[in-house]
Amino acid sequence: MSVAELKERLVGTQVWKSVFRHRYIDSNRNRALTVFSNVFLHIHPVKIPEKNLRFWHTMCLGGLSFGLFLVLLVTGVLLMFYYRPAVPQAYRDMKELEFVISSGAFLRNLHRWAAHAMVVAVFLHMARVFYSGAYRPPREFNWVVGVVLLVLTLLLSYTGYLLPWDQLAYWAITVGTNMAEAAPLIGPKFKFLLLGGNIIGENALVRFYVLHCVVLPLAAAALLAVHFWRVRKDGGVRPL
Amino acid sequence: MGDRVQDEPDSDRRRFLWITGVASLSAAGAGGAAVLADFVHPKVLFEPPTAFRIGRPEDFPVNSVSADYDRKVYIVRTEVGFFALSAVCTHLGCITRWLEDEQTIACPCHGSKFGRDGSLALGPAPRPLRRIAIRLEEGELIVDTTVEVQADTVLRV
Amino acid sequence: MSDSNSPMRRMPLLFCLASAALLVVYAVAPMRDYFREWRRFQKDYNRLADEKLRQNMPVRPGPIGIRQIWIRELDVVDRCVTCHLGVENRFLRGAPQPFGFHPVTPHNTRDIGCTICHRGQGAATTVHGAHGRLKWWEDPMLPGRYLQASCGQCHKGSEVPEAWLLNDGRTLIQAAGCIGCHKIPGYERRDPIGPVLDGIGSKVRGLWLFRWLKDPKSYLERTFMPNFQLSDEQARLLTAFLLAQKFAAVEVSETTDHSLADQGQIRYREARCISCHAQGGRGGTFGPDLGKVGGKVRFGWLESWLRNPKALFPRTRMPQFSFPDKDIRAVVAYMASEFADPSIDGREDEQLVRSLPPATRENLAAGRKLYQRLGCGGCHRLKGVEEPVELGPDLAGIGNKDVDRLDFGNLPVDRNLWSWLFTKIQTPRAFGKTLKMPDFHFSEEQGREIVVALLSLTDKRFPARYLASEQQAGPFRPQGEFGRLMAKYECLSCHRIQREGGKIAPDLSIIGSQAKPQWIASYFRLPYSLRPILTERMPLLGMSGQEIQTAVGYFQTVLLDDSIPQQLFPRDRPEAQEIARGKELYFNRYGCQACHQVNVAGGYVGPALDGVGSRLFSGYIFAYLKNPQRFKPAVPEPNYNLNDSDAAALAAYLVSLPPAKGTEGR
Repeated sequence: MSVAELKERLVGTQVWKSVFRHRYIDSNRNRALTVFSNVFLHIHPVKIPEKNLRFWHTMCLGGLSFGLFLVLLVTGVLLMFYYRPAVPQAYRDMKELEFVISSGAFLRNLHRWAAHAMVVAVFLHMARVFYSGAYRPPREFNWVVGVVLLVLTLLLSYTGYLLPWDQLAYWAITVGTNMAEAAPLIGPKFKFLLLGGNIIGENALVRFYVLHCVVLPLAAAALLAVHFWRVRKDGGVRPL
Repeated sequence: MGDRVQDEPDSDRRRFLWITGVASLSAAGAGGAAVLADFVHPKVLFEPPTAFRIGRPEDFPVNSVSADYDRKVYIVRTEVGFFALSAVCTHLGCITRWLEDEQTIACPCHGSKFGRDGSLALGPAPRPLRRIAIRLEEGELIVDTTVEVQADTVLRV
Repeated sequence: MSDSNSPMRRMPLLFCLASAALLVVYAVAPMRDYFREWRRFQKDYNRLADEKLRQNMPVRPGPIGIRQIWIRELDVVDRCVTCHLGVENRFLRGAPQPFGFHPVTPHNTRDIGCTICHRGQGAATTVHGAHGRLKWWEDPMLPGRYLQASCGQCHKGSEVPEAWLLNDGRTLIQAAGCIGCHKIPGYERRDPIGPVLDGIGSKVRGLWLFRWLKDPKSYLERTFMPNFQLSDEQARLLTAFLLAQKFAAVEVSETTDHSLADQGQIRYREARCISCHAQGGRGGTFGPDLGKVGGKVRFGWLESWLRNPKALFPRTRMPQFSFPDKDIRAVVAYMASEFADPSIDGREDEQLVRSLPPATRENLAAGRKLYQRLGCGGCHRLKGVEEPVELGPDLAGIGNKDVDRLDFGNLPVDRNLWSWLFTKIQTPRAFGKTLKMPDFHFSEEQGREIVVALLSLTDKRFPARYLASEQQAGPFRPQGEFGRLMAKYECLSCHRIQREGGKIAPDLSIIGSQAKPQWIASYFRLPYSLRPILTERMPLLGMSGQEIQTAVGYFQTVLLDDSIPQQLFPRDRPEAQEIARGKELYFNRYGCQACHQVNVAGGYVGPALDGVGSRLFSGYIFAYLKNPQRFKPAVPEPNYNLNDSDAAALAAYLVSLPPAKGTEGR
């Protein structure tokens, strides 16, 4: 049986047809249907004018940010297999990742560098949008969503800082939460709630962990969906 | 449109690049899966050791069953010598108890009963209790729960 | 679409490069894992094991994988054994590191792990990381020469026989009076270690005091008085202040009757002063060297001192000798002529005293202030200046102090805790001119011992069951007549009774079961040395017959070991045939004559055994032969594991030995 026959048989199966509901016969209708009927593809436009793909229009910064987000998601989930957010264990688990677990140091470094890179990429993305005037109507709402995403990125980065539970973590969070405390009226209460107490201890570690691994990523994922969707609705990336 | 690629003047180069790219990606994917499998496989265990010292022979009276429930093992001393039984029930893994009055080993979960030599007396358990390796080293008895021995093995001391 | 600017055109190249890059990145991580150091060590070990197996040694190769000692209670996770694979296998003694056998110690790695003693980073699996030589790792491995410090973390109060550096260091800390200025956990501030300075002006000469303050070691090599690096002006001020402190009761006299010197020499010899006091470096080391004491003290004071040392200095360890006044004057005369200090002459002394600031109220107040600022009160007591002194920092937790909190100045010293401590102790003001700690001129060896003791003062906490229990028995403090006797003669300065007292003379805890009362009494009357080579000998105390009776009576009723029978043989007379068998064993079987003399024949390692039966109870001889180390843990006498009948025969032979010729009269 030749490869072509094998492929033909595979494509003919019920399972294949259930997943890929349209054959890739290159007609406009088919293309549109292929995209519409697939949850992963439907966020993309059916058609993009070729000149919109020019590198210097976007410098791929939004895509890069999202790619880094995915990298962080995967590596973060893997790190959660070995990390325990508790005072006696947290630092020791870092050492386990470094010294014992296969590729542990690799994944942790990947997570860290990707986090730094994402902050940079999101910031540059914002700058690009600003300088190319892409915040103007009808994209003003998406600009706001984007700004919230930038803040979420920074918060993700910041909450992740405490988790290694080393000196750098401890003092970075000391400084950071004292900055939050300086906010008028709600500052002291906010710091108290953020740390779950007056000192950086067990409560603070668990709170930062939950924020870092659950709350903020979910919020970011939801806003990312809105962000992408609005890009489509606002007419995609268009040169000025 | 679908055959557009073939129209390109440098299609050999393209084909090469695609094949190399797909091959690298597949290799990276396979490698990634292997790395992942290795990653989730723990390299050290924080568990009690499976082989341990249980005491000196003279600590155990003749014709007695001594239970160590923490380590899930019975040390039985007969007139002939020693043997060790795993206290884990062969039915569904509950920890059995030695009932001195009834001279039986009983499982609290589903009522299985075993004799003092580990033989199956009653209940849903399919097999007698596992008899595990015991040896004498420098005057101390050492039990290794990972090594199962024949049901009639006795350490003569 | 074939527009050369189309982004689609470069897609295949980008895709190819990106995929290849990903592959490379993915390849790096497993490679790094595979080429970890410890894998190489384990492979080397397995090769070594194969080789040893071929030589029929039980060294087994093991599976490749990380090994660890995990002790939950101690929070120990030590992976040292991942590379140090031979620590428990004595067939690997002397094998190349990291595979060598760990020397036998009282503790097992299985029970306490490795890092509790050696420090370092137990969780690490790299050579660099595990040994803790990383920039920010706070607990690097201790060098071997300081390792004994770790014993002191659990053995807080008690002595550790295996850790002599620690014991010596602790003794030194106590002896050198470190607690005068520092708070140190485990050391109680008892009486100050230096002499009481009340009346010092009646005791010493001005010139001597001035020189002493400037450089104490120049007068007495072994003193613990440190050098404060005083300026001449400061030293003068302090000398003036101290000379103003006088005893009303002591006659300030610097003259003596030299015609009595010959008689004094006889008394001095009889009293065996040299057992404790050396003369120019020869003699005992227990009291101060008297070689140049003639230039130091005023003779009027010396007379009062010899009459009753405790009247002038209640805590002195010097016994009170029962000399008549005439003899005391003679001894002072002898000492004045024999121990004169040519470097101190009267004129110079007068000159100096004249040059001192006059004893005005202002000057005395300034001297007093200087005395306080230097912290003299840490070691000395002086009426009127009695505020507590605490100049130095609290030393709790010094043993694992973070190296980043130490000020190294810009000295070329290794940046680690022990080097800092060692430098600090050797040259206390090396790290800064304004530091206050004086220079004790410790030898390098003493410095290392002190560092060991200090390094044991960590702030690590261990569960109670790991801590060595303190000795529960209270200190030995006999009451009544014998108590008074012991205080007078300061027996415990040299002897030890029930873990109390000095260590330079035999332990007397069970003397009543060891030595016969008649012999003890004659020994008090005229002590002699059992081992002629020793310098420290029992002094002739001049005890009265009544006192001797009291002491011997106390020995025979209290200081006993009930497991030892006094007499082994009926009426303490062994049978002739038993003696003959013992003799045979003595000379032929065990070769005792290699170390002991009998009738001027034999070795010099042990004491001569002539007349040992009149000295020791036969029951004790028997028990001692059975296990010498039971009574004297450090004795070189071998334990032959004698059976009862051999030991009894030997004892029979020994008690039958007559006293050596010429000692009959004693």
